[in-house]
Amino acid sequence: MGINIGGSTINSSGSGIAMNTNFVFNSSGYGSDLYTSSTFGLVGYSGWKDISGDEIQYSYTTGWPINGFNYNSGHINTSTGVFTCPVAGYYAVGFNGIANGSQFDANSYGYAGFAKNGALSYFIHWNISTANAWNQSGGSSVFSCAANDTLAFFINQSPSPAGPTAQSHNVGWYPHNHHAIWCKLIG
Amino acid sequence: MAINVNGITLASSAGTALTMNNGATNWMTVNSNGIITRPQTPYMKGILSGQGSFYRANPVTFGSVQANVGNCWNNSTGYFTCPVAGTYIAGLGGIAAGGLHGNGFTYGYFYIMKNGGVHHFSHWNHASYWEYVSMSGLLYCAAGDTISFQINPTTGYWYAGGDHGNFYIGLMM
Repeated sequence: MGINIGGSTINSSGSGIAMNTNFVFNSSGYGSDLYTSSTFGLVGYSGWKDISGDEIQYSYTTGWPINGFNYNSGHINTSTGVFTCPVAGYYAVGFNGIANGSQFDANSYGYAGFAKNGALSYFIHWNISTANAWNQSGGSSVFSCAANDTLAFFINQSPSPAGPTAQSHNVGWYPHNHHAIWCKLIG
Repeated sequence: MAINVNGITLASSAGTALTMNNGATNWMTVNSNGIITRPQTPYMKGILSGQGSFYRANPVTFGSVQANVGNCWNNSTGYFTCPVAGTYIAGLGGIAAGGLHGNGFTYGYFYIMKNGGVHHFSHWNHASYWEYVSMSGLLYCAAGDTISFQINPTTGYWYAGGDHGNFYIGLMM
């Protein structure tokens, strides 16, 4: 049995209910927005920067170019790391990773944070002086965005602050899948 | 006014809130401000408290399971079984013991696992210091997939005393 409201449907098989086919509650009342290749109900991504075999800790002048994914709705530019919001809403973001001390003759401190439309909202900071010591750090936040606003993660590069040594050496976090960065439309 | 869609009821109380239920439990409410709540959302939260002073394991289990909506978490096995397909958020945070445990390892790794394989992980390495470490990530799962946590069982430890070490998993929309 179903209801059609101007082309939008609410259907039930008797054990659950589906709205516009993607917003589904099962027989226990567990609701989820289902992802298919042609519909992106689950707007967001969860991934990392993957540079296999390279142990330099990178930062980037665009955004952290996430190119390894466990989940990707297709709204992030994998070359620049810039995520473009497809609809207006609230977007949750999270990031965690590791930075090295002065092992690579670089500054032992650094900064990281998410920028909305190229402007930094807030940032985190680490400062460790011992070579070969790894500092695990991260954070999370929520952004209110209009459609086509952009969100990107920056490490030791403008608009995030950084010491000159860190910028000249282009250092930041350890790549590969030793870190996780994600973004999700939540409301 | 209410509409029954094959046993599922959509109801509005004088236009102030829209609810959806199966006759026994509330599945969703959209209140008069447009705020949506879904009280059946699968969710778990646990802490290491009760697992001794220092802890490492694969998979992680908890001394105290503080929430287990939907009973998806099995604390005997350390696995969360996804009841439906969707995007799940998982996170963990705690204090890495550096070399303070005395086993010789100043470093270690911690993981978010999906179906027993590594989904996300990170690393710490601090000699003789306490370091707070954390990680969160999203997992797109099919019904029946499992989510678990690992604190590398062969290197460093996390502190498990008191209420330290917080872990959670929840279904997002």
